[in-house]
Amino acid sequence: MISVKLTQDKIREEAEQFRKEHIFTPDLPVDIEHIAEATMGIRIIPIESLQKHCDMEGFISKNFTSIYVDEFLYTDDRYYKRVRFTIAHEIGHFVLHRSTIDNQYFRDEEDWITFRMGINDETLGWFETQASEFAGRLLVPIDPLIEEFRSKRGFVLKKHSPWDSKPLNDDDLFSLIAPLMCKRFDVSAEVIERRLRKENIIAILGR
Amino acid sequence: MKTSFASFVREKRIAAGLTLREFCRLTGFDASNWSKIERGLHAPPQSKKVLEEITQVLKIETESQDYKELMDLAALASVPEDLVEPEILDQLPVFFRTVRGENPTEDELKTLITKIRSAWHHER
Repeated sequence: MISVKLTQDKIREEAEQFRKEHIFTPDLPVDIEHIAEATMGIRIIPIESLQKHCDMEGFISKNFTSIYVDEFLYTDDRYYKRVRFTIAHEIGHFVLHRSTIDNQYFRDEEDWITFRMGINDETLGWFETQASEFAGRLLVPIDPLIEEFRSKRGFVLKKHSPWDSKPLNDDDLFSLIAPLMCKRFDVSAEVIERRLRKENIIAILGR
Repeated sequence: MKTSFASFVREKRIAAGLTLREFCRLTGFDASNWSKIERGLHAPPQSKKVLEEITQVLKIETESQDYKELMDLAALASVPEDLVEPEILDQLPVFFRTVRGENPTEDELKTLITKIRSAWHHER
């Protein structure tokens, strides 16, 4: 059974290395689709009803030439943040799991189906979590994350502290501040919340 | 290798800093159909008006060399008879999860194969 457990430090290192090699401007939001197409030569291929019929938002092909995305999500502004994250996540598989993917050989389509049905949830969970961690780090770099948190924190604490006699706990603070921070990165508030927790932002900056 | 309409417009779109999504929004093309045109699976549009709209979106000046080349390539283009479709096994994903967070069912996997095959269907 395939297995790979990468440390957080390794994923951080890989994301920073990728940034050096493929992202030539500090501008935000990261233009992830352009990076995929222009610097990596990967095609973005929209597929009709991918989510509706296969319950998937996107995937990268085994030979890493194409990232397929659900056409409806791809073209609808309301979901484009998710598509951006999906593209970054798929690039994460390319960067982190390339050798594992290269080592899989399928005789035919039935063989692929058997392989896919046989992957256990825990193993798959590791690969998926690592790719998402990579995507978060790529789209939400640490320095601007700290900068944004610092600039919005005072406003949120001032506005929301009086609502309760108890002070805001970290989770409340993250859920209130994340929607104010996501525009600069063009990701969802959930991604920002995860990044704030992962980076242990309160330990870095205090409250 | 001779440049095709497909590779020419893809190269110009990327050079213009436009994603497939932005390009399709500006021109009104359906994204999956335009993607097929860029992969040489669909014949390019033949209407001069549509082609001129494409050149405008791609920031190609009228009567420039690129403009003439785009028009010539569109006029000459047809989907080649000997186009080799990619190996479907190479296009299948190894790792992915369903939105509901579970392994996909066998039916979903079979549907996925059909959809990938359809995305590379070659229309003459």
